[in-house]
Amino acid sequence: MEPAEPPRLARWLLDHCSAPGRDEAIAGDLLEEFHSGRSADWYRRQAASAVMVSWVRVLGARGMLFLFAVLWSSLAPAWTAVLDRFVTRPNPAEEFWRMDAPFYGLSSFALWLALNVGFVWAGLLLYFGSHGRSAGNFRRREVVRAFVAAAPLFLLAYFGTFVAMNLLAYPGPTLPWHTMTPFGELFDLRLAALALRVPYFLTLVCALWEATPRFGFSLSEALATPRIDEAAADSPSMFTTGDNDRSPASLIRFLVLAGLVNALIVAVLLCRLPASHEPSLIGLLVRAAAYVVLGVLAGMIGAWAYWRRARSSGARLPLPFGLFALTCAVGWVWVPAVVLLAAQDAPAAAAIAVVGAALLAVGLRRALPLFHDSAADSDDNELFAAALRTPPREVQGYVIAGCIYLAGFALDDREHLLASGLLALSAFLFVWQFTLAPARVFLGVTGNARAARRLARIAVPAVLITLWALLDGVAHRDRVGASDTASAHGNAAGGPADIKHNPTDFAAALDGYESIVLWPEPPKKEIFAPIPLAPQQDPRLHKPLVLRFDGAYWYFQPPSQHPGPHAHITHGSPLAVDIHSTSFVPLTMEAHQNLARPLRLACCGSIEVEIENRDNRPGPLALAMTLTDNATPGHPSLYLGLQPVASSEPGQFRIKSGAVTETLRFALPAHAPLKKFDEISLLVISDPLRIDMGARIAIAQFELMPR
Amino acid sequence: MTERGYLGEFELMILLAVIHLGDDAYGVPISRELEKQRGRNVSVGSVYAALERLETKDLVESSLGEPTAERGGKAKRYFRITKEGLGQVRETRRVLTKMWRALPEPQGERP
Repeated sequence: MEPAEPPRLARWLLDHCSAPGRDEAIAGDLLEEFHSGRSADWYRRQAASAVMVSWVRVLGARGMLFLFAVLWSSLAPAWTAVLDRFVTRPNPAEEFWRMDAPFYGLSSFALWLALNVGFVWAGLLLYFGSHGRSAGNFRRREVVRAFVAAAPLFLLAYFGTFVAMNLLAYPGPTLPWHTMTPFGELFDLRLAALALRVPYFLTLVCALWEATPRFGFSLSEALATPRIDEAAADSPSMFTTGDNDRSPASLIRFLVLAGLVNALIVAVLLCRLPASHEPSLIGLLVRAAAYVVLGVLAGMIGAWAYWRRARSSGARLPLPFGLFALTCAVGWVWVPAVVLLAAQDAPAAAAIAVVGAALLAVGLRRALPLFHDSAADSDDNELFAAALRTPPREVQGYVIAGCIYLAGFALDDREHLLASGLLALSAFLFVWQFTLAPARVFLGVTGNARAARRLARIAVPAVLITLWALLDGVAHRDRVGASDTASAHGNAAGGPADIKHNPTDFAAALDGYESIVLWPEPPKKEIFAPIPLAPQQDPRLHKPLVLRFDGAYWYFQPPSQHPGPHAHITHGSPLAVDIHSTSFVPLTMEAHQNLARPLRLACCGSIEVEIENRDNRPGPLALAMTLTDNATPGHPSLYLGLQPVASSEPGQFRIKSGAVTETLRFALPAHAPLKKFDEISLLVISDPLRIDMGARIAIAQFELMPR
Repeated sequence: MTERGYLGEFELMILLAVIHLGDDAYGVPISRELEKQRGRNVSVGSVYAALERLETKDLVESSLGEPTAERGGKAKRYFRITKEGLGQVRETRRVLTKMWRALPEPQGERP
């Protein structure tokens, strides 16, 4: 009698729906058990369980892949904003990549695809490169396949996402491209921005799915220290490379970095100037001490999270966590001061970071003698009396030089936090190289006590430095407030004004204003058309209609689309003030002119805008115009495109002592959904190099030209 | 002082079953042994997942047997405990025994 067959559906699921790489023996075991008398229900349960477990195992083994794909794809909206500025040039003659008809569309598509695939490839390169030593364990075929498959996968994922979004929300969410800025889009969580990230995420996951290291690479294996025992000494493994102190060093470096990043995140989010303009010294001292304690705790928590994971994976850690935390705390205590000073654009932030990194390097070197240079221990060739010793290849020098070089550029661009990080890294490497390991390492209670005493000695100046950062920040804020009041009354000097980012958004500045509304002087008057319009039956203009600009200039930061309720309202002229962002988020500048009564769109064929340009900062500018009908529900609007400010273009830019007058023309379409408008808005679009500054451009008048 | 990971309950049971079964330790007898000792059903898939984890930690090693017709042409995968695995089991036993002995004798119960 033939043995009964197991349920077909369950068997088919087991054979075809299990994760790739499942063990074939499971199917044989289930069949053997079924033939020995197990029920069909038992077989179905076991088959379902085997399929689920296989997928959990496969997905769990690729946890780092998913994490990387999420992080890299989160940059997609920012990348798209960069692309938009590059591809959409105010002057079509600059679009050298565009071919003439009939290949115009093809050239545009090719450029778009090339730039986006390039972004995906950059992510792939970073993923493979970040695996360090274990990158050699990737199969070449899989690596090549990942790069080759990126383009078709991206097209497929992009098209699928586009269709899905149109089905979910026709005509699909749109992004206001003309207001998108790279840094602002990093924190954009709107539906359209999230949908934009999906194709990149799917492309990375699919391309990297097969490109896993041969030995089943995982974070726990990367953190595992080599087990140096007799059995392993002769057998090659991925860890025994003859340089046995490298793995513990990698582990310690990773843990230090984890703690540092955690401390930095907490400091950026929580360390603020006091709201009071005249805080007490004691209050500031308590605040400084609290910030230092926060930094240390955040660093400890960040390091502890990865410490536990390494320990649970069986990694042999070279010292107890308590001693490690006390040793690294001498570096974490400086993080709040660095963040506070960097937010105030103070170069001292870099100096403090260097000091902190140097102290951290010295402390770690004294606690971890395992990591001294092993080159001196290398065996000499016994055949020669004087052995030739090749100096070990060291890249620290190049890294230090590169960091210092880049830090110079960062300081020049007032990117003080970035410069602090680069200089801290170079200081750490430099001090590490030249610090001698002690002859004896103290562990246990003695070691902890020594580390605690050292931390206490360093924490005191750290608190004082943080206090100084707070004092300087409050003083700077008061100075800005005073100079802004002066500039609001039309002083020619026009002191700088700072915009503070809304704390509910993802960046925080420490002084300045949430947003600024700048009204020109004299105060606003009612606008009325100097030339009466034709009767209702004929809304067209027969002569140009001039409207003097007396609206407001808005200064705010994305993702906000208008000044908030706490906007600072003042009077002045953009020609006379310097308004810039004090955080990493760029600045948006708009001009808004409200009309006392709406005008029909059919009244005119174009709108000419006369501007005054007194901007002496290099970088091309452009204006984008939008007409809005605020009287109609939904506030429909019509975008009229953007026009370059010719006097800011590279070929025509020059340093201006006075304002240069220029006229920009915006054509109105003959037919549009918008029938009338009562507001004219102009958005100032800046070059990426100057997106944190408001432009010194003032609107003089609008001239509505008849058709 | 270096730190080591310890075996989970399920992993320890599997290792003990592998030791007990000797050369005949493959998926079916391991699962049956676990079911017999625990008194409830065991998922074969989870047994294999645990064995894979143990193999990654070098606590067990596996080898493929010959395929047979009764198994639909699928080979058996035999598992053997390694020296490291045996050391881990002994260490876990030592720690658990020490902790059990430190507990007071429950009243009214005989050992």
